[in-house]
Amino acid sequence: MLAVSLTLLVQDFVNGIFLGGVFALLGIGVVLIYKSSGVLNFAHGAMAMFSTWVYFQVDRSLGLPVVLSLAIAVAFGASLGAGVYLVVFRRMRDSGLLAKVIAALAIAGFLQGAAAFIWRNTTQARPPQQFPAGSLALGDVGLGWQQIGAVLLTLAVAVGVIQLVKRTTFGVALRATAQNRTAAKLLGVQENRVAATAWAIGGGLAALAGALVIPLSALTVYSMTGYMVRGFVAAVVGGFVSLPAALIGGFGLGIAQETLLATPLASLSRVFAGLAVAVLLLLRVERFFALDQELRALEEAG
Amino acid sequence: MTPEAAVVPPLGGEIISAPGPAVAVVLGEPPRSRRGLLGAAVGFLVVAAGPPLLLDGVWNATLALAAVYGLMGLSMVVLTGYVGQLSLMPATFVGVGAFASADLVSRLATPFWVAVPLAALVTVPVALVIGIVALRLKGLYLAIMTLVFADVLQEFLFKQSWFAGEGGSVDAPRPFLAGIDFKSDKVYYFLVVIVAMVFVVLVRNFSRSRSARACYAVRDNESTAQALGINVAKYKLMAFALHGFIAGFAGALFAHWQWSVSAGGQRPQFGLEFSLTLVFFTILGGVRSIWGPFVGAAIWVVLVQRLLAGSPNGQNIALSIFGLLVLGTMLYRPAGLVGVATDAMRRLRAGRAS
Repeated sequence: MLAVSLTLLVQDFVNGIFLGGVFALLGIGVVLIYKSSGVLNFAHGAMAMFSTWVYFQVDRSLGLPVVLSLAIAVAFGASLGAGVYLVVFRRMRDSGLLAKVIAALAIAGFLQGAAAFIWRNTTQARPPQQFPAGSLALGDVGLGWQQIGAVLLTLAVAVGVIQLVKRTTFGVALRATAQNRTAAKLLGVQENRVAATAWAIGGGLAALAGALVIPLSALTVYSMTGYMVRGFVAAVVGGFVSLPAALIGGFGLGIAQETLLATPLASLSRVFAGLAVAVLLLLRVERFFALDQELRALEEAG
Repeated sequence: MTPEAAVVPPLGGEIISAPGPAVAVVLGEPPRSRRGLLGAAVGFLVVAAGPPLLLDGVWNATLALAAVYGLMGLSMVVLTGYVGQLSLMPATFVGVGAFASADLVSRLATPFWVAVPLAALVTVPVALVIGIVALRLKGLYLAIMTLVFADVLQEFLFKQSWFAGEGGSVDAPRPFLAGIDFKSDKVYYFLVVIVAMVFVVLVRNFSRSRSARACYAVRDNESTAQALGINVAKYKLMAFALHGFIAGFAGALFAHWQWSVSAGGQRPQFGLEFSLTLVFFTILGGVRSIWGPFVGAAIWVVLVQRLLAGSPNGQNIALSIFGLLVLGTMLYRPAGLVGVATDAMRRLRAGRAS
């Protein structure tokens, strides 16, 4: 029996685009943070999780319009990101990769424990959707407004960030730091300011990703870890230096993983990210997206 | 070639076996005397035998767990401390050992004494697969790959009924030997401590061996090690095999400590959280020190099982505290608590000498 339901396939495909956008937002943040400070941010999922709890709490206790709650959560995520850099990773600029990874893990552990403690009495945390609850019916396929809205918002934000890195002074400074840190410093790039900004953007994007995806599932202390891992896989596509590649990687991973659910290979869906990352690393796809110089800087750091 | 290559004198491969200045560069510390080991062993025995005789009975299970966790941490010392490879899936290897031993004892009627070492051996090929991947991937990518592999094994191995039992759990009974009943936590504690001590001596001897010096060279600068004629692949694989063996052994002891093993549902027992715990307390104790993981594990287990036992969020509070402690360790004292203690003792001795 190889009959594949077309409706189901389309439905899963659409859901894949939605989840892919979330992976892309996280992946782009991971790339920004890595480029600016050489930290593989294992605390990214925990930062997203914590900001999403803030979003939930602000909405519940202040009763503001959803847009304002979202803005507060994103601002919180951005300050959390900048704070983490300024307090911890500014002092670890010259540490090895391993030390940075362990420090990031420690931050993740702290945030998870703290969130579990702060919201210990909260069961059934359901943050509000940003878009109307209903769905747009196209034949048998229903497209949730939350999903449509999230995908459009994700695309707009991602393109905005990519343009920011491409065209602004901040972007030039960021790329210069990633390619040759010493030379960038000699030319007057203030690396701490650049890195704190990149961390703030990454933290804000993580908060946005959490706030967009969690209303459709459930919020727990662990609910963002799986998304973070998939964000990493998206970042792997561009060798941790290319933003457009992370965007493509995120959407590609989401679509492939969810579409699998409608096929007889559904059991592979949950581990698809693992298989994908093995293939990506084997084929060294990052060659097609990233400058040699940036990749070499990464090799040396590792 | 990186500029660091100039730090180590360009000498031939035999440098690894001949104790000389270059080895000191690689090793970073002078070899200690045999008396030190004897003293440490006696001290360890006192620590081992004291608590069950002096403390309340409930401490036996707690301290047995601390010793088992310390052994798990010791597997991180070999891999991360000696060869500089960070794996985020030690708990997965622990899980493989735990299930293998439980399966062997309760479903295949293997005696406990055969099952536990056999379970450790079963874990070795699994670790070697990751080791082979690690040969191709450096730092960043390896960490991600282990993160993802942990998930894959959780889905494909820990959910198979032939391995993880019909209902997702397997019994892990304790043995009865020559009139001694290991069902008693006190007896099990002695068993675990003796096993841990055997591993401590083995790892300590390994850490002074020619192979270990090659490992340190790989850790400190892979390109230089390669240029010196060290077979990098061989030592990485050796470290992964040893890592898997120790973690698997500890996992088997853990299974019988808690009488049964289950993969867990929403929160996998052998998932990222457990791996993080292992990494955290090992770093806190000192990832390059043999005693480090035991110190760290003792703090973690006493904190979670005793001090915070009454709180429903004990585990989470402990994770928070450890997050901060590990952060402080990385920022200020990367050598961990054992490093702090060693420094203090060295300063004390220097003060007395002058």
